[in-house]
Amino acid sequence: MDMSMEPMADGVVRVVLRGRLDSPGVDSIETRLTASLVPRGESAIVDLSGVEFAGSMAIRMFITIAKALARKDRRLALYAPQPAVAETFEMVALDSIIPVAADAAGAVERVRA
Amino acid sequence: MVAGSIRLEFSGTPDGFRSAFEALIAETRVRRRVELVFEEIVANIVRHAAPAGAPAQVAVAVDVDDGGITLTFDDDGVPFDPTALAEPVPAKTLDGAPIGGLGVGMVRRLARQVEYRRTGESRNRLVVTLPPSGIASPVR
Repeated sequence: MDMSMEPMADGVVRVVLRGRLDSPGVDSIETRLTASLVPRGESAIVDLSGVEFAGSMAIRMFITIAKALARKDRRLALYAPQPAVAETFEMVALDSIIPVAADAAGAVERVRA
Repeated sequence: MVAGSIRLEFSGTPDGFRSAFEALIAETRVRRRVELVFEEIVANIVRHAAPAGAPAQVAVAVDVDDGGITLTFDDDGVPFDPTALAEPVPAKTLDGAPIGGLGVGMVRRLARQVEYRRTGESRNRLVVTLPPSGIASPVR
């Protein structure tokens, strides 16, 4: 599982994930991702276009991070999921609790809403 | 999709299962659903059914025919019936969202049928049947 991060304008950070967010994949990035995002206190958007699989462990990780950011009045949004990942998110109606956008611009709009 | 079967046996975390699924199920979207069921059920076995101090021994059979895809999970862990778990109510807000507990609900949504029994050999046997395409239960 690969992860990279870059600051954007106006206090938003962009994270790019690549690989499989199955149990081993989540285990390999969760601590690093949480430690990179939560303490800095900025809203974050996550590019999922390179993620070919996401299971319930991935959803649990995103909900945990979103809750931690919300306590700092910041938001998390996901964007560009592949069709199979989008289907998984739809099964649990994830978009009703964490914004899932089609692209980066849409995700930035959702975290600033 | 072509008719066929595979058998996987492993201890702890499985490895190499994806290439086996690729050989059996050509359609990416259908294969991802099978992988999702596999991931969620094996993760549950590892978390809940593994005997103390030792990883559960798990055998998985995947059978494909025109009528659908059947995954049979057989493990030597402590009795654990995932069909007895309450299905989580979808959260409407981030504040009310539970952390975890979503996996079995996903499997139920994808599956046409989920059956559990404790065998006479003191093993857990879970049989999950998926339709050949599509999702058994529409998104709520």
